[in-house]
Amino acid sequence: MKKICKMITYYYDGELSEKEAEIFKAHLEKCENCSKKIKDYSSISNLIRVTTEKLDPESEEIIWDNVEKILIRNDIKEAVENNYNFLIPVIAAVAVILILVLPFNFKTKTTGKELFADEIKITNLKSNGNVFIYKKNKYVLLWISKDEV
Amino acid sequence: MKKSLFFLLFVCVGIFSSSPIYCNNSDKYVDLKIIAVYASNSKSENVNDKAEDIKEYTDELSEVLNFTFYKKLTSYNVTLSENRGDRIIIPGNNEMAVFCNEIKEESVKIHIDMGDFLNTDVLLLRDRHIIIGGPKYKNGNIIFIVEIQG
Repeated sequence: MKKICKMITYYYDGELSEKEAEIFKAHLEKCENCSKKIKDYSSISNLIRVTTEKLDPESEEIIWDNVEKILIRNDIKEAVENNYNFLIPVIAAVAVILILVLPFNFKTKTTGKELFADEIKITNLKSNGNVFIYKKNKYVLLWISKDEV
Repeated sequence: MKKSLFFLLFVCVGIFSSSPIYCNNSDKYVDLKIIAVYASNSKSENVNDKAEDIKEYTDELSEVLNFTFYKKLTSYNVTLSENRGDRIIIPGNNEMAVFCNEIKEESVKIHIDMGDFLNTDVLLLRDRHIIIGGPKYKNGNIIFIVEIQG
């Protein structure tokens, strides 16, 4: 049985003699495994056929353009790998420096915003008059009702 | 190759030198501008209810206060460094003491001392101002506008 199963590819490709093919066909009716394989081959073949159908000249040109681009990209990649290896430590060093330095720059700005939340703050206010506080985006008005300074 | 290495070195030095941790903070100072404005409703005053030289402030004041007349009395420029103060003589022959507690890139922490009338800490932002008003003066009141210059 196993010997016959090995003939499946020959059967599928039509390389068996007429007699051998008849025998294998009879085998297929009994062997579920081979029957399934034949169906799989068939579906794969259909798929491949679709993709290998003759393309119109325009589509073919696009495909070859893409192939060319991929080849050029590979050439560049190869050139970078071979000739610009020295840049890797330099770029890494610059990245480390930026990581170390940039947080300080950002910190200065965000600290200001966190502390003051973009508004003027009045604290520890003492007055022997009545204090009215009016806050606007651009200014804070303190009005103290008292006769004289 | 040498050129690109020099360029990278130059960029790194530039970034380091611009970082605040490497800046010299010893020369921090702030210029404060204090404007004294006289505000009144008196009909005897000349009609000058939107003085041109302080128009940007009188527009704001009009939002909250009901004065019909505003006049700039005087203005003071006070330069302070951290932990330094100054005194100015304000209309009515009184004093205003301003002390700088802290100077930051975007803000200044100051202490304003006008005796019993007002004693307060203010965190002032660079493009904002504080308006202090109330003391009686002639037929109206005095208003002080305090802002950071520059």
